[in-house]
Amino acid sequence: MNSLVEVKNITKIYGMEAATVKALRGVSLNVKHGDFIAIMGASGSGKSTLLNIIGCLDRSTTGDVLIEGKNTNILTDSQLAEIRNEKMGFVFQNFNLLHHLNALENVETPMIYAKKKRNERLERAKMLLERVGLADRMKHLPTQMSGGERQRIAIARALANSPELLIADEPTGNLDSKTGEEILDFFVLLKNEGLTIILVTHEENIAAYADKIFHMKDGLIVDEEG
Amino acid sequence: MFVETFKIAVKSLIANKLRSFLSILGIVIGIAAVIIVISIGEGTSYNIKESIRSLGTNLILVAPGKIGGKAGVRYVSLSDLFTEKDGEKILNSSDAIINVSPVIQKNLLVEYRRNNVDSQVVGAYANYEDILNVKLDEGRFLIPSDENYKRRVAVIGNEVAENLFPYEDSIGKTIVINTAVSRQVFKIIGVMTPKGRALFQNLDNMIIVPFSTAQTRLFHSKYVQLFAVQAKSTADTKRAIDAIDRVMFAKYKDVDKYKITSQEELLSTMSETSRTLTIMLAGIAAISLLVGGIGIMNIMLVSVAERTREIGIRKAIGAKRRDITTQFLLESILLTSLGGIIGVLLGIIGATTISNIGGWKTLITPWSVAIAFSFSILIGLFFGIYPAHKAASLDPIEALRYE
Ligand SMILES: Nc1ncnc2c1ncn2[C@@H]1O[C@H](COP(=O)(O)OP(=O)(O)OP(=O)(O)O)[C@@H](O)[C@H]1O
Ligand SMILES: [Mg+2]
Repeated sequence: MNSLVEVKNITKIYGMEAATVKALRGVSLNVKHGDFIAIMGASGSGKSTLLNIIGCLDRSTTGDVLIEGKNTNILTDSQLAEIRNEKMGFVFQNFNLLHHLNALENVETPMIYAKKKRNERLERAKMLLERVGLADRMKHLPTQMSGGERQRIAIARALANSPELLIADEPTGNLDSKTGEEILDFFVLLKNEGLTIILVTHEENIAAYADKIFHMKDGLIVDEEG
Repeated sequence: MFVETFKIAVKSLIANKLRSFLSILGIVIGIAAVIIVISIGEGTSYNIKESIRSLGTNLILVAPGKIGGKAGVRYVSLSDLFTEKDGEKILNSSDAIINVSPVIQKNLLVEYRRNNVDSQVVGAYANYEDILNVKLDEGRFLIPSDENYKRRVAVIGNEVAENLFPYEDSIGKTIVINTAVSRQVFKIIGVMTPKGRALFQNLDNMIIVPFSTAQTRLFHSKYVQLFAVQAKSTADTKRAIDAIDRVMFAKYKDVDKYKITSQEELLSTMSETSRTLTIMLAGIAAISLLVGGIGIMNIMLVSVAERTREIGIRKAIGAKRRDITTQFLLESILLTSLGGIIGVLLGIIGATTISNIGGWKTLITPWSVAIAFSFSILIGLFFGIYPAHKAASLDPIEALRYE
């Protein structure tokens, strides 16, 4: 079976000349369709940097990232935007919702950029919000909701265009442990439906939901379990 | 897609109501100023046109050219003066000319009992009624027999009537016109309808008497000061002028010795002048629009900075450069065209108020509204480009990190 994501010996260097930071020093990683992967490591070890490059939000300094066999190095910014829109779903620690839009509109937004028809958008957004248990909160603004509810909107939004890969950077970092576990239970559900997930977390019990755990240190993957 | 982007833009403007409103104030004021200035200009030029028209229809004036003489000595050779004969020649020179009247005029003191008034006394033929498009409030105008019999009759302007006869009817009364050497008695036969000022002449302060009577009784002269000529139609004016020119040139062999001015010519120079003035003033008002535009750019830049995170989020979920550019451009165009609409309304209200209270004539033309409104859209486009470009160029990761 083909890999969904192939990371080939990538490095990422921030800054210029004297003030450079080597955030990634040669990372390789293979993510197959249907994998549920967790990445752990100390703060500053390069987890978010790796995730952003895999998610096509950023580019590596050297090395290649292949998405479904396509090398992202040769793609334009606009083509990367298309990949993010169609193939990736992002869930962030701080939710990153559009605060002046209500839950429904937030979930609709990726579908607007995918040029989906209004009816189709509304129908799917409603369905997704129902799935994450927010059927009665669709017209509420994110600011009127709890952290757990906001993260569920974010997940519904991440699923809007039926992505291949769900990228979650410390999705439970701002939630209590019970709410965090509910979110991860839902991830398992999605994984069982065939979604590929990459998760970054600091918490052992959250990482335990994944099938494979990678450990990072100083810009390198140092250990792999599971 | 465009509709969606439009909705996004509207939503973010509504989310920042107060700021949106404040940021368009400059545009509102600028557009209102342009509308008001243009409406005053148009009103004034309309007034000028009307007063020139009221002077008569298809009027052409033939006057002597440069006065001769040297260094402070006025000298006109007798042979250079116009005569009634010249008038006949002009009338017969072309079928484009339907009326010619010689004119002789002077400011003289006119009295009735204890009242007196300084008036412009004009000697002219009976056809002056048609040439000047005279309307009468009372009585009648001069008739050819007045001319033939050198009757001492006068048609007076409305202001003259009011000054000399504040409490009584003037028809049939006799007035005294004072010349340098004599006092001449005239009977009033008509009072003209008010016309107002036109071309620095107060038509209401005129007294019109038969040309022949004026020559012999008032001016003691055999000559003509100028000819008032009426062309058949506006289209015939050019032909009429050419014919007059031929007659006059045949007599003088020198184009400097006579001057032909047509009402149409006057009309077009006057309205050209007033149009130039209007455009200049509107240009000054438009500078305030420019300032308003810079205000919009400033607000849009602040907005882009404040919404860096929103831009990052949008890019993360798939917005392309073009989507972000369109969103912010639409926002700024929406802002300025809203400012344009409010400005136009305010301008119309302002212009109406000015004409009601200030008594100035204002005229709001569709073209001024159209220009002002399209200008406001252009400003939004022009001053929105840079902020929109800045927003679209943000790096998604940098933007997402922004606090
Ligand atoms: N935009 C940037 N400019 C400069 N240095 C950066 C930038 N982004 C990240 N870094 C640096 O790169 C290194 C890796 O950062 P990264 O955010 O990937 O760490 P992380 O493993 O996600 O940490 P955390 O657990 O705290 O989120 C850090 O030393 C960080 O300071
Ligand atoms: Mg991180």
